[in-house]
Amino acid sequence: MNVILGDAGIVLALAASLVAALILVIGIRGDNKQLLRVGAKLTGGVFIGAAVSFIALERALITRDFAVDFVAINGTTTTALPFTISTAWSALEGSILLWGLVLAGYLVLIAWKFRDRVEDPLVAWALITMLAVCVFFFGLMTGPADPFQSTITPTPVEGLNGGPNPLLQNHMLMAFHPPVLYLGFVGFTVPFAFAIAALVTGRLGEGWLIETRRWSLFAWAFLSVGILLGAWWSYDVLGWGGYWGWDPVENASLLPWLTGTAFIHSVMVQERRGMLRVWNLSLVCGTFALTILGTFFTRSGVVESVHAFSESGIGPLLLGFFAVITVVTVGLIGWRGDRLRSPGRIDSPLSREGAFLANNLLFAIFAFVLLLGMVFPLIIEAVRDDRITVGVPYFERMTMPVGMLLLLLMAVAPVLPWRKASGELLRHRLQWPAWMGGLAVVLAVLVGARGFTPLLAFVLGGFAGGSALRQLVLATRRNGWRGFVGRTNGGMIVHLGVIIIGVALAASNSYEQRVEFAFEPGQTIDYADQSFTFEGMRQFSEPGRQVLEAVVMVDGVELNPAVRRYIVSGQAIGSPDTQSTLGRNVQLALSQAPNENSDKAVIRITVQPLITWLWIGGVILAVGTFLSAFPSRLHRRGTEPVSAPASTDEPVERVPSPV
Amino acid sequence: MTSSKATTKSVGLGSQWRWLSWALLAVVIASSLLIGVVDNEGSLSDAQRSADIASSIRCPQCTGQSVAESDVAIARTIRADIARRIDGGESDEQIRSYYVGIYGESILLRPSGNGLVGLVWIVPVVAAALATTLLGFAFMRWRSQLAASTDSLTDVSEADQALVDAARSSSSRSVTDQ
Amino acid sequence: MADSGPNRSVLWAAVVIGALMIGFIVLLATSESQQGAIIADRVVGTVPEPFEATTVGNEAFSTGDHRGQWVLVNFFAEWCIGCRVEHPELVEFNRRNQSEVQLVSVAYDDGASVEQYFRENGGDWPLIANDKDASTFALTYGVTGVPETIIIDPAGRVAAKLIGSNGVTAEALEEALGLQ
Repeated sequence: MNVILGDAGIVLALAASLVAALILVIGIRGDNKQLLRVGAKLTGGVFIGAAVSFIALERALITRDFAVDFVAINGTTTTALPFTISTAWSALEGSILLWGLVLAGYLVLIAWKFRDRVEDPLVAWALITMLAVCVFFFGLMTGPADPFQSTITPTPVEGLNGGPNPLLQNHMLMAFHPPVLYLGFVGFTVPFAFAIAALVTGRLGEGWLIETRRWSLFAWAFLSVGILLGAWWSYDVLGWGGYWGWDPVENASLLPWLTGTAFIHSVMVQERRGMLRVWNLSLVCGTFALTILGTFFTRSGVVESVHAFSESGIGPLLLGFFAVITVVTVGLIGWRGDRLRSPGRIDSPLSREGAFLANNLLFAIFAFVLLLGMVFPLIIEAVRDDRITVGVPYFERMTMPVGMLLLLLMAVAPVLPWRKASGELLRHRLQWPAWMGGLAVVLAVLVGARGFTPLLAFVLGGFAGGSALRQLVLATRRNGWRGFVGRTNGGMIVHLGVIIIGVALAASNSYEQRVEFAFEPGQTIDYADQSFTFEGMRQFSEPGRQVLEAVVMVDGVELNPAVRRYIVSGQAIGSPDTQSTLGRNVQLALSQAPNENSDKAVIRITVQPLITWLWIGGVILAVGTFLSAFPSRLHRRGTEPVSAPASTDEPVERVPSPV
Repeated sequence: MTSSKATTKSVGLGSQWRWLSWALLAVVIASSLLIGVVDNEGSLSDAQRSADIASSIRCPQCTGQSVAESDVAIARTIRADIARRIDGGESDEQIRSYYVGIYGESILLRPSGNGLVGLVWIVPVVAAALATTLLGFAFMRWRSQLAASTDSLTDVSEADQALVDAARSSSSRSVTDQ
Repeated sequence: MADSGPNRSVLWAAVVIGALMIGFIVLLATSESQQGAIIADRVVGTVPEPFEATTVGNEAFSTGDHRGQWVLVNFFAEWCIGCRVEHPELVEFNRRNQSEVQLVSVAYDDGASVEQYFRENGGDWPLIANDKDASTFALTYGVTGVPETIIIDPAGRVAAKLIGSNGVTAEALEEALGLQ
């Protein structure tokens, strides 16, 4: 039953995508408004198919329908309900289905939002592009990534592997991290679709950007929060205080975030000055292509990663899709190059436009470093047949200067006016922010912080924070509570969030203290101004696993670092325990439990400052994005600019528009 | 954005005071950073050396973790071995090359700076310098183009003026842009 | 400032970037999977220095004592499924070739449970279970995991390294060592 429903859903979604796309293309060619409306309505079929399929998979998991191979391989009777639900995206086929569901969701939202304008070829082509992406993903699901295969005979009565990978049923964030991340990744399909539509229809002005501004912003916010949730999850389960390992899959999720951040800044230059058209088109298409490339890295096994799914046949298909996107994008931009001449010029590097260009330059370098580091071992192996590793030291060393420069830019850019600024203006406006930077570093030194890198981060962080606060204070002084909403003000709040995260990164990395100690029962040690007492071990069982935990008193608070051994698979997973306060985090991990040879418990202690502020910064970032979506002034619908079709017959007299 | 302060420059005492305050700030920050750097612990303790080397050696059995982070048997073995070697007086270089001898170059998490592999360090720096230079050229070109065409910017053609007037007068009309 | 005609610079940029992307995609398409890649080790073909170890029976065992015989150093852990699959094969191999072959097992991880396993399932050859010697063995032979079996020829040279239990049968070993 579930198999039939599931397969039917996928087939429905695929068929609806194909038919809708075809109808829309015919409608555009024949200028048939009726067909365009029908095509737009058919997108609903895609969503219904995806939803039915997803519900069928969840139903199969929850009712333990082991006739479905996916459930037999990944499900079990002993997993708790939240983890049963999240089992859907803990393996390849289900995660592709989740991607398809989110994609279909965005598709119908776009079709609904633009329902009055579906006769505009720009909107129609955007829908066609999104439908083409749907065709790819749902096509994958009819073949190599089919979650509804039913080939295992006889039908098992219990999960074959004891549930999903134990690492994926150990923590609540498994339920949130992938869906939020996908909302971000898939969200970038929308501005990509409109970019392709703009290229195809030749309407390369600013209309498509303005339409999709909020969609890009929300996709970016989801991606940011998704990445932070992933870091939080790593921190909670790894046991040595690490939250970012520059792992290839982590890097693959960071790459579209970097280009996406560059994009949401440089679009403001295009909106204001009509410039950077080619660059923005390339950025948004590149961001989408990078999400596909990231999916490829995660599922193909080409790079080694703890996050990678087990190998499957879809690697080459994803790479092929990436190739298609690249060819189409590069081809379209090359073809339409003649229309992409911008009327504007940038007056001076010392201006907000200049700052946004510097922002793009820095993010481009950051992304380049990441991509080079990920791909270099492959290049070396192809050339020399020798394996090398490009690991954490490389990424840290290369990205640190870029991060510092970005903090500096965040300090200076908000006070820069458009077009041109003078040194005098800067000196005047940056005074208070600069003094905040000075205050920050003096306080830090007084508290005992040492080391050039973190102190520099404090200076720049204080400086940038002061600049953002200055903008907010000025805005609220002028507009009251409205000073917190709108693009600029919301943006300043987002900057505050990012600055807090940056400073927390620097502090928690530079000032971490870690030691591994073999405790005798009852022993107390003093470390990092805290006392740790090992009291003994405790053993009990949870559904599907045996838990062996240590009881450690940290200044009166009980922490229980444990090891969980999963019965069916035999795997043992460490479960560290953390005490979080605003100032510092103490994390304990059980490296070695007492056994017949020794009654000592080897416990790893990691103490890091400001970890909690990483997550607080993330919340501020999300709030800021939400606030920036509100209009800061009463919005007059009438003068909403729309790209009019440019005629291709006569050369158009280009006159610079008086801005 | 206009600031609430008067933009007219006050020559004399006002701007001098501003220069002084910036100079004072520079001194404060520089001295804090100096204290922060100089006061830092000098040579590393044995335990720190051990941790440093351990975090630069990859755990052979894991995917990308260092032996400092992993808890598998071989990681613990290597950590203990590193500590033994430090006690035995070996230098960081010697310890690292010992492991490279057993497991190959890929056991080190930090790619070497020599030869073909060293390119991974150089290429981004070169690319960044190149990009910055190109951006600088672009700015110079824009500047000269702007200077050359300043005249046409200030003369607004009649057709353009009519367009602007029409858009301003009726708020329900959509504006074409290109 | 009106420009007409194709935008040359954009076209050139598109061509260059297109070529780079094609190269990039070809690189990714032809890269072998790295997942689970075993780190290449340099031990095979070398002659490691002999060293002494103490077995669980408190006897001395030296790798140098057994020149003239094939020495098989087997790394074993009780929780490792592959180790348990290949163990009976090693028992059989040892039984048939006692004179030409010297087996020695090194407990990887928890020595006590390995001792117990050997008591129950056979394995009448030296077992090294103390931490210090076990790690010396592991590092000398570049071990990364279990099961691994190092084959040392009668001259003391490391002839081969068997990683994983695939294909480790008594017959296969005899064939490989020329002991039919």
